[in-house]
Amino acid sequence: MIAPSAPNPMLEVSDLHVVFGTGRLRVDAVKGVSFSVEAGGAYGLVGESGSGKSTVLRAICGLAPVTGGTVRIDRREVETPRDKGFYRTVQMVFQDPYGSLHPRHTVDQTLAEPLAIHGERDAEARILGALREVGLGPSFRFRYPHQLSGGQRQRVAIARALILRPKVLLLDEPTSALDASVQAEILNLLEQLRRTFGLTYVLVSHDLAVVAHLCDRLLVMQHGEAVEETSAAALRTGTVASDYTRSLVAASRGYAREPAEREPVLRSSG
Amino acid sequence: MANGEMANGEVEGGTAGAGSAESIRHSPLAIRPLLEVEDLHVRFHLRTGTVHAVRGLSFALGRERLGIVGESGSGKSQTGRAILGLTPPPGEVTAKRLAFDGIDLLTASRRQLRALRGGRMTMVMQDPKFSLNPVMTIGEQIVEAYRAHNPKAGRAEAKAKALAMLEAVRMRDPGRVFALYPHEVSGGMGQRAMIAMMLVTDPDLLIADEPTSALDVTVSTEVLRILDDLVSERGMGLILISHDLKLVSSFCDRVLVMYAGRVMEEVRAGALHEARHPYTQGLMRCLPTLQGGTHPLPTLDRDPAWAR
Repeated sequence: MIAPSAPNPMLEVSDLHVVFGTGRLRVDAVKGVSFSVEAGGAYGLVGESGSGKSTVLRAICGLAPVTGGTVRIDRREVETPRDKGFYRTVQMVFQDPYGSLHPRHTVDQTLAEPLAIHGERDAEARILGALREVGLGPSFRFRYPHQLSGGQRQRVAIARALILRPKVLLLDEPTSALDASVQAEILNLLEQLRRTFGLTYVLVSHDLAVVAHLCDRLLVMQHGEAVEETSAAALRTGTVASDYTRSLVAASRGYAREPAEREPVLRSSG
Repeated sequence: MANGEMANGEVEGGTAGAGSAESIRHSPLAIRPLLEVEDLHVRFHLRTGTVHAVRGLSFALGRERLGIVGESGSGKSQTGRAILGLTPPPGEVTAKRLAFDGIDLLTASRRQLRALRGGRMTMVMQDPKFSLNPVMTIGEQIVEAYRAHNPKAGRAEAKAKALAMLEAVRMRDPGRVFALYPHEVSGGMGQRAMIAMMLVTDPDLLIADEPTSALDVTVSTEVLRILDDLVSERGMGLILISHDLKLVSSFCDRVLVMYAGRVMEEVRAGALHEARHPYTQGLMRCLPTLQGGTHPLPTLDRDPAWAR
């Protein structure tokens, strides 16, 4: 599948393949996925577990091996291993704020680490600024993760990702471990930060409504392959091409008791 | 029997509150409610103070589908556990009345409770990975559950029951699944096996605590459909506990919305838009929708008075 190229692409993924293991244990996690995101855009990846959506993100930022295809950031192909400059441009926010923050580091230590690695000065002011940007006061600076709620932790994780002023933020299910009301706060924060800093987002989620809320375009994946690229507007009007996407849209509307809603294509778990 | 207290007391027939007309429709034969809960409290006495997880919960359940919805910490799961007597220590459960089919669960002996639990009232937990025994095949586990509550049943009978149950949860090849270990099946199959194990004893009450949260949306629809069909076929009472307002309201007959250990309001399913409590309204509004909701999303302002 050839992705229509954006006029001013910040991120281009073309014919990406990710393979884990060899021989009998070989798993083709991602099989030829292509898409591109324009600067300042927000792009969604949706699909069921095992569809390869998270692996695409991990491959972009070097946490999974790129077996084939290319990843370009700002028209430059990324090198393996990724250099420091890459991580200045691309940062990631993980799903579980309980697992992604060091339990014995204070918020201050967590936020100081990327600054130290990249030899940034003025850490004090940067940390306070980063906390302010994500809506946390200076009083949170010397707390440990266990002294924070789930939503506050995710704010700290976002602050850590943003403190180097990256251009691209990779978001791997950033709200699925959170309560609905906290999810709304984090989604609002992400939207506002994208506007303020002109960030480019790639958002992975199993929740179609979250993706449609934050992203303009999205890629539906299944079994490591792209099923179709569509837009939030198309989801709204229901004008999607594939049966699989249609079944995802139906499932996200809640439980339907009518037998007419049965989708024979979904018998994939047996 | 406690009857007049609850707005949804089915015993009262026409004399009860507005909610009862709905409940009656689903349980025309109910002489007394299957489950009566009145002024249920669950407290955890910790070194750092007492956590009051459930604070004065009352409801009655007939052979219907009741949803309990709330955010984390609302006490919804502790409610389910307290009913089954599964409150972990140092939890303390008190109630004016907690009765299953007329049997007082607070004064029942351990032996009586053991016979009820897993037999006439059962529970499906969130993640089959943790609730199935990893070193027993799925079939053996269902057989064990069946024989524990039917001591006279022979192995052959129990096996036939287990296979029939696996077929009832739409396993494509029950004989093959019977011999598989939990790690050899997918999450959706594991959860269906769990449901098979919980329903093989023909319970009257099933409590499902986030039964589909660990599953993909599409698989979860299938699991819910199986649950739905079995519950209506067998005329069981079902309590579905979930954080997902949309799911619960589309699945259940009525929904209790919980916050800080209390019921904020009871809503008739399908009439969620008529919800009057600001908490329920706020919960609904803060969900992003495919239809393209508002930007930014309205956030929920918690009124301290709700928790009082």
